[in-house]
Amino acid sequence: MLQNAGVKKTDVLVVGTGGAGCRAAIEAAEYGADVTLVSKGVLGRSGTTNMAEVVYAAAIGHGDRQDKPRYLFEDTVVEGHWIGDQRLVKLLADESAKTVYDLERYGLPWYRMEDGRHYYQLPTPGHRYDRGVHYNESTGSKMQDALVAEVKRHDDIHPLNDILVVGLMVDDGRIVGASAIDLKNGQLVLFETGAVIVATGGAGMMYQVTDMEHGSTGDGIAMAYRAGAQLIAPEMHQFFPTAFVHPETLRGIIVTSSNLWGFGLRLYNARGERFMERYFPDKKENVPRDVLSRSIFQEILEGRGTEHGGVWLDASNIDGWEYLRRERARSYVWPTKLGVNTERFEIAPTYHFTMGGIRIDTDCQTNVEGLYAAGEVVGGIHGANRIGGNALPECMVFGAIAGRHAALHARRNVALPQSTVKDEHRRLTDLLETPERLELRPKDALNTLKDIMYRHVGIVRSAQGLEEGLEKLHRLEAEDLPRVGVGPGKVFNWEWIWKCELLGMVEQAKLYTQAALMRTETRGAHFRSDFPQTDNVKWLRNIVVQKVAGEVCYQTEPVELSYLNPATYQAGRE
Amino acid sequence: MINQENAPKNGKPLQVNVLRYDPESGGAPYWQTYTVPRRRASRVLDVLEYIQDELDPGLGYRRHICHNLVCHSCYVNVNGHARMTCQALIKPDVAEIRIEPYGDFVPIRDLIVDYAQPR
Ligand SMILES: Cc1cc2nc3c(=O)[nH]c(=O)nc-3n(C[C@H](O)[C@H](O)[C@H](O)COP(=O)(O)OP(=O)(O)OC[C@H]3O[C@@H](n4cnc5c(N)ncnc54)[C@H](O)[C@@H]3O)c2cc1C
Ligand code: FES
Repeated sequence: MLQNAGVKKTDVLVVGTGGAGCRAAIEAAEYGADVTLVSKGVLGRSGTTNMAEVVYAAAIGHGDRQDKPRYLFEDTVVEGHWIGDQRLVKLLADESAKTVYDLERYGLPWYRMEDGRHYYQLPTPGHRYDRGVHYNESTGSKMQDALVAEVKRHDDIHPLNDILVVGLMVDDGRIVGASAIDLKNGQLVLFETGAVIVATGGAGMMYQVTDMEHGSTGDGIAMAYRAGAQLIAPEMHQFFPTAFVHPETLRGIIVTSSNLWGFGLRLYNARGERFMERYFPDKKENVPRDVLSRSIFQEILEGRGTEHGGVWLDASNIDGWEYLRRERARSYVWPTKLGVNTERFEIAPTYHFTMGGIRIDTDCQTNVEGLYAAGEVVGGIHGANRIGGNALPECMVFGAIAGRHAALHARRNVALPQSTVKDEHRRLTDLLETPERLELRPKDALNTLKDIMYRHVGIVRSAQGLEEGLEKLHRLEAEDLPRVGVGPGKVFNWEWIWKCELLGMVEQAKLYTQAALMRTETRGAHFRSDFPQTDNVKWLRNIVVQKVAGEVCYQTEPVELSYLNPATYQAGRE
Repeated sequence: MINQENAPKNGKPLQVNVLRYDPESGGAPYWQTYTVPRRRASRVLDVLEYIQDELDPGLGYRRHICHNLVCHSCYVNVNGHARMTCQALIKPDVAEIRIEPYGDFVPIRDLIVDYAQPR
């Protein structure tokens, strides 16, 4: 039997210590709550926030005096292909400016203009004005550091590292607690609380190639779904065109930013053909991100890929090399950074951002009372495509909102029912104390899953491919999962961790695939080769999925258009 | 090295000595030697990943990491010096390396340390 370390009481439990989780904890503490802040990794060192390199979008008008939050709002809605929830986008656009100053107070020294007063804002694709405040190609990790410093200033925030949250407990439609495994000793920990904020980030690890931190397994999405929360836009996932696929430990890491294609990087398939010439004789590689991703993916899918499932990127004799070395040394000069001593390497599109996720209202609450969510784990804000620089402010804006409402909601008279505790204890014991004879390793099943998702629910989708994907997923679930065993030991047993994550990922995979099958049109990152047109008559709608009485239930809802309507919208600059 | 086309695919394998520690057995730390093919030995991180994936799933090191020099949770001691495994390149002429847990924090298991508990 799994050892039970007992129950911890807390006003607010925050799951995840990336940008969203830390910000939520700070706000909840400022509202007087006693906060427990847990991560399955280490505070300040876990999550994808650290990995964000450059831009933090905010309409503060330093890059261009004309800029206003309402233009940021419009850009986000339009570039999201009209299916983002406009009430949430409005919050993001209106409040992101203030978060720039909050972060500076926490200790982020934004780059400034020569006058020393105005912030230096970079242009970013999709934004009509220069909006990207930044710091030294390491904006994300500076933001994470500043937040951790602020977290540590609060006596009422209790951070706990190496706590893998595995379940949310609901009683009578309300959150009453959460279950977790303390990886440091392998014991079950129960949290008794009336308010949980899920801030567990994206789900890139479901895909074979991803640039996210390797704990990005979408746990929060799966747990919230199991607890009865609605998910929105589960079919929407963003890819970035060019990342290493080899060597193995560099798999997924972005090779170059998209605006550097003009410098003369060239792509070749395994037969040595410069295949972009075939698709775009004039522009060749210098095409928009999504088009480039699809072309590369097509080459690989049609069997002209390299040994490690990519295409060749040739960076020899590029005009921009000196520029790169000077201006982007941290990000894009591979030899000094990663030991890539070649100008030719294998690359493929990499999974970059989870647009779908947990559905929230303007208080960041889900349809389950006491369950809140913030950050990348949330769905429905970026619609069908996220523009650069909008994810970090999303963490700050919605982290604060979630923290405030969770603190106000916190109830002291919560009781974790004994029967719920017993059921959870049994479930986890069964899951983790598997008989030795189970022959399949969690890693094997995980690799199968990643392959299915990348191939069938990736950049180019079709009814045939998605149905094949679903069939493979059902086979994985029925035939492989029951055979997945775990090795001995309780302390930091990675096979325990992977098995817990795997179950959640297979659950998510089915939902993502089914939703992608439902959306019979192309919109933003969702490209259907069998329905290549955007259909605003039928599909100005969102797909919402929920577990009702143990059954999965899909529905579509018209997009909420309270501020802007595609029929009448005209873009402009002042 | 990572140079994919000119990599010494058939170079002599690397000997990797890892300091193991299992708190559940109650025993003292002990050394274990693994042999890693050259083509999987560009960075120290490659070596650990190879060992855990191919030779010994029980080897403990942090896996929820960035692989990209930003998270700072991959520290170990390599030949007695604190290094980030994703940054520590292994020269092709090196025959043997020694990996121990990062010395500044209390060990949890094998190469995993408790970053909340400085020593
Ligand atoms: C390479 C890259 C570059 C990017 N660049 C930019 C950029 O320039 N600008 C921008 O705006 N955005 C950028 N993004 C996106 C942005 O970084 C993320 O969307 C954002 O940081 C997500 O933050 P988060 O707090 O929601 O999640 P994360 O930072 O991923 O944090 C998740 C936390 O949850 C914890 N966790 C997960 N599961 C569990 C569990 N079961 N139990 C306990 N804890 C758990 C993790 O340990 C971690 O602490 C980039 C992303 C990538 C991958
Ligand atoms: S793996 Fe993140 S810094 Fe080394």
